[in-house]
Amino acid sequence: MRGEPMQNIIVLKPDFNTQCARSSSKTLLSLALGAGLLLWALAQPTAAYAALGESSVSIARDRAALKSSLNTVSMKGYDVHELTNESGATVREYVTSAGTVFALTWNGTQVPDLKLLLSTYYDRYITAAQAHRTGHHVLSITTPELVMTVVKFQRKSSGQVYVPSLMPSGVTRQELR
Amino acid sequence: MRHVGLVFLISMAGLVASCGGGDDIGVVVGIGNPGGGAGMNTLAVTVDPGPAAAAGAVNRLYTTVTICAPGSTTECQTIDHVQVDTGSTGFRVLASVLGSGLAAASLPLTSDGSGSTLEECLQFADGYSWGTVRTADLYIGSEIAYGTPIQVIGDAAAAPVPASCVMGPVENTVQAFGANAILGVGNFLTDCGDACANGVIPGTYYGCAADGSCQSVTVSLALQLQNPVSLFALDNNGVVIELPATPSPTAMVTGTMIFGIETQADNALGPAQIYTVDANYGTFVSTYNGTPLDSSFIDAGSNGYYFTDSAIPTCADQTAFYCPPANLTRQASIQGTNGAVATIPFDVDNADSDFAANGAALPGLAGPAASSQVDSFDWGLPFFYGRNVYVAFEAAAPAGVVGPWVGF
Repeated sequence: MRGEPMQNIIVLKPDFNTQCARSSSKTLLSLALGAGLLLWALAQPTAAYAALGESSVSIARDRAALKSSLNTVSMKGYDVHELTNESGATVREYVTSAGTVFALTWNGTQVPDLKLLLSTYYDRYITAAQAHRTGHHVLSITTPELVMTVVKFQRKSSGQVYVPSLMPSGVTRQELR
Repeated sequence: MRHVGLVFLISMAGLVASCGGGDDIGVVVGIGNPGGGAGMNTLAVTVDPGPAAAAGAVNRLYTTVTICAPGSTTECQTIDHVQVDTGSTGFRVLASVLGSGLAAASLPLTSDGSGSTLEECLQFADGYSWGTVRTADLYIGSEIAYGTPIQVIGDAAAAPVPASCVMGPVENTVQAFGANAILGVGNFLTDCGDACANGVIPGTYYGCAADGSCQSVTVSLALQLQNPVSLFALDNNGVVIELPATPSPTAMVTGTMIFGIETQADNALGPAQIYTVDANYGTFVSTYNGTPLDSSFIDAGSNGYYFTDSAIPTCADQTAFYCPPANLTRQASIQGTNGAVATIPFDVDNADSDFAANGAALPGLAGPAASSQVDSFDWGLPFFYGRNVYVAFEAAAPAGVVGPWVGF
């Protein structure tokens, strides 16, 4: 298949559109909920964001600034805010009627920016990840404070994380898709 | 640098280009592949407790690889406890194990002429690794992958890790990584593919300047980490992993990885069936308890069966594993995108009991690492015991069926 001498053609280039988007879109800096996905998708700095256990007051801000679309669906007892980037990767944030993010799910090529999305729960993820014995492709955390599943296989990642104590009554993890 | 002819050039000029700019200043340099590598196409593989620095591994498949400076047969080092992984692509070595016959610095960086180098972030479910991209000749069994782009994890020459790479704990040591190196022989020819060739994806490849600052960059397919087996002169269309039946916890298991599919007598498909997998992700549909899980996969790099069954209790001390009061047998199906279906019975042992047996090979190890969102059934290494598992590469067509596919 590749036994013959060959030349490898090399062209690396940064994404000009991304660079330009940063300089021309001050709104990006104030974007709240989508910041985690934004970093994941576009490597942009961020000033504020919503995350697990935090208020989602800024979710609706300037969705046009995101290369991701934002779609909000109201369910019984909570809202689902879905961010979808250009490659189709999604992050869904589940928000209580009081405005607190109680769960996250994602599906895409990469694990999203968990430091941003997990916020104060990030340290618990670190601790569990250091202690676990399930290898590089699967991580499962089941504690009273945090339930989390991360799968990263080849070019795909999906995951679910929620805070049991913040779950609205009557909501099950099976709904968090 | 000694290997001037192998130094690649990265166009970083775009980083300072105006918004209207679109000039791609790509510079082309060659890398030779003189061919060769005929002969034996087998490689011994072992499930054992792992390297001393990371002892206690279970269901991890290891082998031995010799890595050489490009074109050299003397500047070489043989690395043991290289994890064999069908769930990733590319060869990655921990910098800390180099230095006994081969220095990392003898492997050319992928670099431009002004001090920017290609470096890579590798994000797992449980952390991340960071290091340089260098070029090496890999001697794997009797076959050779010349001029292979590899990752040197924890390379002292690497820039400080960029913030967008950090995801969980750093795994830049043998202890954290669980192996001296990893040999990714999954379905794909490159580790990131078109996604990184066509767009900037944080958490993958970076161009790093001499001052240590790094920017996410696009990387052509040719520059990305390559599936080493696909670079062999022969037997380069896939691999077969053969592990003996292992009905109960066992101290150690030895088996064989065969290179190529239907290229020699020893890698004929025989009675195995072909299950084609998703061309982008390598996944297929498994159905468990009546629920179709459309992101399922076979993965020698996972150490157990991971799937959701809320009726099976998890262990009290480690909730990542199942601990049924008595060992169970369950079954799930595997359905390829070509419609081929197999029903697979498998064991779900009490993991506490299995771990207490102190074996490295635990054929009934299983855990609940999937959820309603994840929609996956992870057929980890226990699936491989007692089977010949074929992994056909994309673009190749072993047995007349275009990859990617798996067979068993």
